[in-house]
Amino acid sequence: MPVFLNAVLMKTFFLVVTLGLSLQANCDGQSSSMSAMDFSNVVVADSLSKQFLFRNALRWVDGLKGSNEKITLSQNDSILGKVEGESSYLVYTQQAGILKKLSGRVSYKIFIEAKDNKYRYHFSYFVFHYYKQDRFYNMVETGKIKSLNEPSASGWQKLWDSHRSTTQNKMKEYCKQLEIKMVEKPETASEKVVAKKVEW
Amino acid sequence: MKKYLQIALFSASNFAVAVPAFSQDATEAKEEKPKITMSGYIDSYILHAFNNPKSGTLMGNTAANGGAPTGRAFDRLNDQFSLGLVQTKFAYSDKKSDLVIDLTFGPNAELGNFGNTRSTTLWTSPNNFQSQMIGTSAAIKQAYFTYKATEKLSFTVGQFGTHVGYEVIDAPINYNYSLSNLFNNGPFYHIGMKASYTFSDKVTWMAGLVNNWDNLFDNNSQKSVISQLYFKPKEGFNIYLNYIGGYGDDTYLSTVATSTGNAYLENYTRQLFDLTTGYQITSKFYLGLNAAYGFYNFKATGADGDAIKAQYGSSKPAWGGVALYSNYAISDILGIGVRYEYFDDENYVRYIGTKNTSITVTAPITLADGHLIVKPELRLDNANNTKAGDVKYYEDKDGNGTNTQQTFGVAFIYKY
Repeated sequence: MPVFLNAVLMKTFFLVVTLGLSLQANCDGQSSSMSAMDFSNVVVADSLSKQFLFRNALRWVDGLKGSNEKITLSQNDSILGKVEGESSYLVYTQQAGILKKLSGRVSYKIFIEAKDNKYRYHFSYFVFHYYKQDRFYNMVETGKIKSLNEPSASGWQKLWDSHRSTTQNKMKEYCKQLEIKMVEKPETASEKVVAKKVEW
Repeated sequence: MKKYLQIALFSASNFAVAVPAFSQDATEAKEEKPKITMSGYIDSYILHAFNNPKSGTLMGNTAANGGAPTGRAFDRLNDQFSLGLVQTKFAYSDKKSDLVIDLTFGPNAELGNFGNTRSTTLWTSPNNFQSQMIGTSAAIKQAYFTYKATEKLSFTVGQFGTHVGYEVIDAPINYNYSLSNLFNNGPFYHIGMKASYTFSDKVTWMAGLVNNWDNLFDNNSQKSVISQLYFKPKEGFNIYLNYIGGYGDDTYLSTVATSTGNAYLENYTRQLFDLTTGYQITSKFYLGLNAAYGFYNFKATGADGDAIKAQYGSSKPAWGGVALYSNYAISDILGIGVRYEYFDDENYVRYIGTKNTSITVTAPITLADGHLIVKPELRLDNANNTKAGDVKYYEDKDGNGTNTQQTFGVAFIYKY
């Protein structure tokens, strides 16, 4: 086996192992306790540049925008390799089918920082925003908020638990998606040019 | 009529596009795929009046206003378990349209739909508070669709709840259970069409044409113009400027009053201006304000004009009031709210026919994942003697007049 192939295989093996270990350490670790809604990880991405990782972080954030999340970026700095902002998604009542209704909105902070050969991310400050029906029957925010780190909600514990569970499952999924997306090689314009046949 | 039609058409022509009014958050909340939802509630109450009215109702002294006092319009029964309203509401929504079918049954449904009288002979009952209901029509609280022509412009057609005022018939939406005089003496619903244009997430304008107030059957083919300007100066602070006006648009005046030899009462215009605002000052403290001013402008002159002045005190009799709302969320389960209201209908152009001040203290208890709301409530009313006949407005245990009424009760609301 050529030496360069051996090196590529080793790098791939290292990436897969690192990815697998990091997913287990963070996403599974969170499920054991619902008290702290905080999701973070430092991931080794051997042989991947800061710019490559930064671009992939932005691609992942763009993907969130298409999944009913409302994202506002406060920092998007390719030199520092940082993506920072706030995102939110709606949560619903536990009722099924036509009885399912909007219950509120959960907002959280997103932080991703890329460096050469590694990156880290942090999803934190999960806050539930109360909604109510106004006199025109529209669901609107009341302005009242509650941290998702609070385990109890008197009078609506079951619904509160379901919002916390929904958030935890969603974030576990986001961890997985982000870590896959970060090492994904995008189809670039330069590659297309290389692949194009050139006639003499 | 022509003038109002022109105004409405002009208003509509100034819009290029429309959206269901005030629905920025609701739009955000909507999913892209079509969906059908069902919701509803039931409410019941029991209360005790400390003035122990002999009649068993809280309406007031029967010597007031020709036997038709309206001290309370909805929660009117004393010392008995009473059913309020049963609601089943269906809604369909997709990217381009919304449909709402809001069906209600029970005593408050009929009271809330009191303009839907039998056939074209409106107000066949001598007491306009006991309209003869048309069977299935009385069950329709709202039935309308909204077509979203663009992201900013929408059109709504059908029977819809009024845009005027702070409170609604739906008990789960109001903080206080007992309804204010501003609500009871304003419009409840309209049938017609309206266009709404969203200039930004801070400004929306709605305008439309309707069958006057609470009027399923238009008795004289006159329409009213409705309008609402909505501002959101900052998050949690909402301001609504509302208007309704028209010619000959009071069904009672245009039918009963004119048929009893007072034909001069038919020639008039009526306008109502309303300010409704609310501000979530902190995450727990909320403040709201509702102020309304309405007036008639009777056109009759000479002896007819004098007769109008004798009856109403002026050829432009007015009514109006102001209500201040505040509430504080002590916890997720318990809150407390106070409503202060001053209402003036001394000229008896609406229903109460006196000046009344009230304070209502409500402490809602929310249970069962938000499905059940128990509302203990204390209400204190103080009314002037009526201008006509100098009658004390409320009723005491002997059936005589008294100026005050104090009630304490509990309402039970279950919603799904």
